[in-house]
Amino acid sequence: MEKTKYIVVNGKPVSIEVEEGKMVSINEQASSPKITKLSGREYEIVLNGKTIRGEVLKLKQNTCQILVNGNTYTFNIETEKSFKRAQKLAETMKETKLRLLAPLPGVICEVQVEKEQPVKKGDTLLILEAMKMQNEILSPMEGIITEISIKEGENVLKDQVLIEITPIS
Amino acid sequence: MIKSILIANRGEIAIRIAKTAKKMGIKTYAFLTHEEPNALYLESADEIIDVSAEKFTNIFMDVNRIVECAVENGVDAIHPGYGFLSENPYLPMECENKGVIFIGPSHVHIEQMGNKGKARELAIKCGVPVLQGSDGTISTLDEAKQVAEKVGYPVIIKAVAGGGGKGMRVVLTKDDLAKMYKAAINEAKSVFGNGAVFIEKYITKPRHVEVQVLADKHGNVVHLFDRECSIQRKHQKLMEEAPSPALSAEMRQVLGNDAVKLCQETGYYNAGTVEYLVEGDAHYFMEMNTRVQVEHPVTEAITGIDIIEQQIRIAAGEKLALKQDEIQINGSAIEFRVNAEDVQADFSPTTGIVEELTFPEAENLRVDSGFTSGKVIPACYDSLVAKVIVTGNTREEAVAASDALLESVKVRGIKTTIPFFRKVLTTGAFVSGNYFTDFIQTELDQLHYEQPDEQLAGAILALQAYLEELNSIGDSSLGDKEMNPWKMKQVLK
Repeated sequence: MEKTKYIVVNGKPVSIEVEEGKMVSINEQASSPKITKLSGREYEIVLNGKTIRGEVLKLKQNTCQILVNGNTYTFNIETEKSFKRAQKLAETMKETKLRLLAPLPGVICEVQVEKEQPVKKGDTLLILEAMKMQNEILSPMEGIITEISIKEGENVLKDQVLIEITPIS
Repeated sequence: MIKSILIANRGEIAIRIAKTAKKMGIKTYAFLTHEEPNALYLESADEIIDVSAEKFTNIFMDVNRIVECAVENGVDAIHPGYGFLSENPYLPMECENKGVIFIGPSHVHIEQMGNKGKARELAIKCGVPVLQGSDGTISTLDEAKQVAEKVGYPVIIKAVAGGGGKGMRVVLTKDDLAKMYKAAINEAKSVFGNGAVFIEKYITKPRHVEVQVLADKHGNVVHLFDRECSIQRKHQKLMEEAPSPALSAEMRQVLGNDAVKLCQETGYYNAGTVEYLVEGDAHYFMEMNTRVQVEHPVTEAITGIDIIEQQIRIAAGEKLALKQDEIQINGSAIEFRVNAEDVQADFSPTTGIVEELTFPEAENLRVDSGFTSGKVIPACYDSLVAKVIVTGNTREEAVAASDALLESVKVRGIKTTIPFFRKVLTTGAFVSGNYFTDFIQTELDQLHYEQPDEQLAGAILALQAYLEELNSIGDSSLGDKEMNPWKMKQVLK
């Protein structure tokens, strides 16, 4: 019998082997989780003696969004070959600059960085007020601020470019 | 007599007000806006005032337009709900000018209590304890230094016009004072148009306890006991319970009496909330809210009193029929604010279509929801979707019943704060009732509840969905195709 190995990635990769359409091992250990379809997109999985309910929110190409207990997780389903390619791509992406977009329409309350300023991952860049909340917009990477496209007090639309960060090479 | 009410609000509170009005035989009017033309609250009102053509104004913030609409439609009274103009003195003033009843206090009371500096002075005058701090406002940095030295660090600088968690700066040490003083004044000027600030001692680990009051226009005042609101993020409440697990019977009485005293001394009328900071067995007046609160249902649950009904009766000039010694605490209640927020992304707001929203039905459960399946959550208002209120004969009973009820709420299309509440319900400090306003920062290892192995199960499910999709390719059921017709034009060329 031919086994196909898939690598399912959401931060930490999980390797799952499939034989004749059934999962037979998880992270190199023999395991066949019991999967029951409850309705259209809802499933029940029995894993290590525990029952966990989940729902498939979206499947597009090899990207799948899952809802479990009100939490969402986005997984990429890769084969061994495509996983290597994805890793390589991620390396290259580290060196490309990033334009940060407004996640919601709102008002820029405060810009806490200046042009040419180096930032670390997780640093607060600016505060966007939307839906009566002050939302901190954090830097997703380490780099240098190369462009600030907004001003304090400015109204922004969804997906408007806020800030450009260039990695330090 | 009030025979008709214009509800100058939206969402769950508009529905809540309409419900009581209906019970009392009062006709209700609601605004149809361009932002939410299919909103659920519109279904609860008897009459709709269509202002959807006015695309550049937010009707809920437009004093003149609201009162004008009330007059045009011959409506007796305006209920402001909470938020928006509910604590803006110009609304009752304009109502008075145009002969419309405002369901709330007079503009004088709103002004007094809306100014944190004045409210503090009033509390002192009434003998209600306040935190040690400055006498009146601070006008120079030197003065700020003197006061801070006198009360001892840490201190908090508050804008007199502040509210909703804005216009406050905590100063931990002497070195930060100059910077924070400047920042507080600048923020107060730019946000509230009033740069006046005062200084108070800052308590690092307080509880936030508030007392619900009802006061009529004839000088009668009662309190409906207390609510515990210590679970907050960025000074915004997320969960509330009544009664507070922090108070002894004696303290409960003292806090209640102080709230009543404050209303009696100032001649206040309407429902209202006196907020305190509690540290050990000491309590300090913080502020008074002169409107109905989001969390009023927990008080209704334990006292059986309809607070909106009382507001309407008070506004109509009736005398309070309630006597203090007849008001009893019966059981315990917890409110969960189901907000459209992504807890996994630090409570960032989410918007969009609510694909599904179904709540379980149970005797110990009350749901005040502003949305149903198929409705849209707009980005221009707050993120509150629904309030889930769980009751029990005891606090233990209410806490124990909550998780299963929250788990069976079905939500799709948006993310909500439910995973946060399920986390809180498994946290020892909350279960024991021994928690403070720093609960979220100090007691939680992560913000959302996570079942063991749920991420692994998610990975398995993702692969399952992928495999099913692979198998179905070539299947005739894969007949649905989507195509942009503009594309066809391109191809045909």
